Amino acid sequence: MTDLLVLHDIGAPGGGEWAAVFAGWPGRVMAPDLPGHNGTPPPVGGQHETGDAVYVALDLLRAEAPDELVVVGVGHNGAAAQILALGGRAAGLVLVDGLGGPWLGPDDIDSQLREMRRRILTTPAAISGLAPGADDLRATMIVGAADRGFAVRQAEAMPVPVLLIETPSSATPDTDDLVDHFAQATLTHLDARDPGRVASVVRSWWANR
Amino acid sequence: MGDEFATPDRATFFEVNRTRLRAWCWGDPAAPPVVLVHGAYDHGRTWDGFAPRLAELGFHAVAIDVRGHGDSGRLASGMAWGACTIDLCELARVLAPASDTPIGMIGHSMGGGQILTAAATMPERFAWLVNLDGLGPPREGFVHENIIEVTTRSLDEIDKFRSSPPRPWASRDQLAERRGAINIRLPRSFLEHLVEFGTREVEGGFVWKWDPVFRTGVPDGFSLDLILAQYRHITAPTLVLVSSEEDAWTEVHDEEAERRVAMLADGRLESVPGAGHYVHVEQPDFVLDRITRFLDEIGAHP
Repeated sequence: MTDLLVLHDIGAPGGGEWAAVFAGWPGRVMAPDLPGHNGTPPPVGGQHETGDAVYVALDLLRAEAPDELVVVGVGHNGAAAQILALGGRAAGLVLVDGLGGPWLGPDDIDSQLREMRRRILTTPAAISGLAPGADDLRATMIVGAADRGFAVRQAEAMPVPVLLIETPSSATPDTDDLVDHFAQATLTHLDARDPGRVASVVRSWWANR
Repeated sequence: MGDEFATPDRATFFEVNRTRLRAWCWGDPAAPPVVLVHGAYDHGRTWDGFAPRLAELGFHAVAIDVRGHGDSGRLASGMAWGACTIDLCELARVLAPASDTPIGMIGHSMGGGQILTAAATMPERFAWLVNLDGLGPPREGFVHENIIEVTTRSLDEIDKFRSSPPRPWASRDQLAERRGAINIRLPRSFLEHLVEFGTREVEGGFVWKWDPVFRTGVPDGFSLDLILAQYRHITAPTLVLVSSEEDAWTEVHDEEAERRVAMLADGRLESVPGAGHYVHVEQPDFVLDRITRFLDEIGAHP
């Protein structure tokens, strides 16, 4: 039996809508509300990192011990899903607008990081004490994967089948080129990031792999 | 405690950036502040030998426990480099004697890198910087390893620490010996001091205070190009003192150090004779002399 783990996008409503659309998946469906989302406390220390979803996922996987797992990464958390697949925790990977981008050179990545930190420092609510519950403001203050060279290295090393679902919400400018760097990848375009349609494509892909 | 270490005049906490930073303070609180930032796996009391001498120069010396170290707030998912640098920017604002007055910072090793990132982020909050053997990993540290192996190892380490608490060591002596086997140039008195204030007693022995999360993380594409890109945005006068002797955790030397410091708008570089990675512990007189000359040169001596 193949279980499913969905890592929702940062700043999105949470895992509930994904758990609902994957009802009927033949294995267990895990779609946690990630730190700072939908009532789950913000990360310890209040700083959101790409690694947050990885740590949550590993806790879940230790507890649930799935025989086989498909991991779905949505938006920013495509990065976390790729790490789990590269690290041997999944038999299949789905990226929903999750490849990263827009691609920048080192100077522009550095500028983006410095600007983000300055934005945090000049937003009183973002650096004040932590309030319980959702953390809508700081949760969105995170810089996405912008190094195309790193994205290509990850793609070329990916050891599991990959389904790439791209919608107009994607930040990746060149998915049609990047797909060729994966050993086993299927690319599907949807005209909106609609969870129900995404779930339908994922079911069909995994059943027919 | 040996004579070479002084108890701080005051101990306090600062609430900044959603965490709590432990701070150890020397000198007149109304004097110009200088923040001291330790390296990885260390803590603020490692400045007990050096900070009092900065206070004697007329500074309010504030040595912090970096986030995830000592008595300061804990971590969520890895070393939190970005959060730590935001902490320093906020601390500079809180400590400034008057609104918008920039302050000085001295950082060792990882702390040296963090003060540079902070100064690149908010140049207006930093008047001067001293980086002690903290120019980042050597060039060979950025060679691409097999990404599958690196990632699997990272996830296995996270699983390991989440599954079981750190193993206690039977005595503080054992911890000092263990650390001394890594940092072989550190004097025994410093190792004992490091352990005395850097560990806590638990059932079955002693563990380091640093958060075990600190030594975990996930691959993120960190690169030398990114380090150098941020250096171009540092405007504060910066003194970089690097080690001259081979040592564990030694950062970069010679031409590579010159290349990196050349990226700074107002940087100067000097090698500390007879010193390994802990330049301020091994050669405190030399380091203090060079800091004093630097402050005189830029007109920042109180």
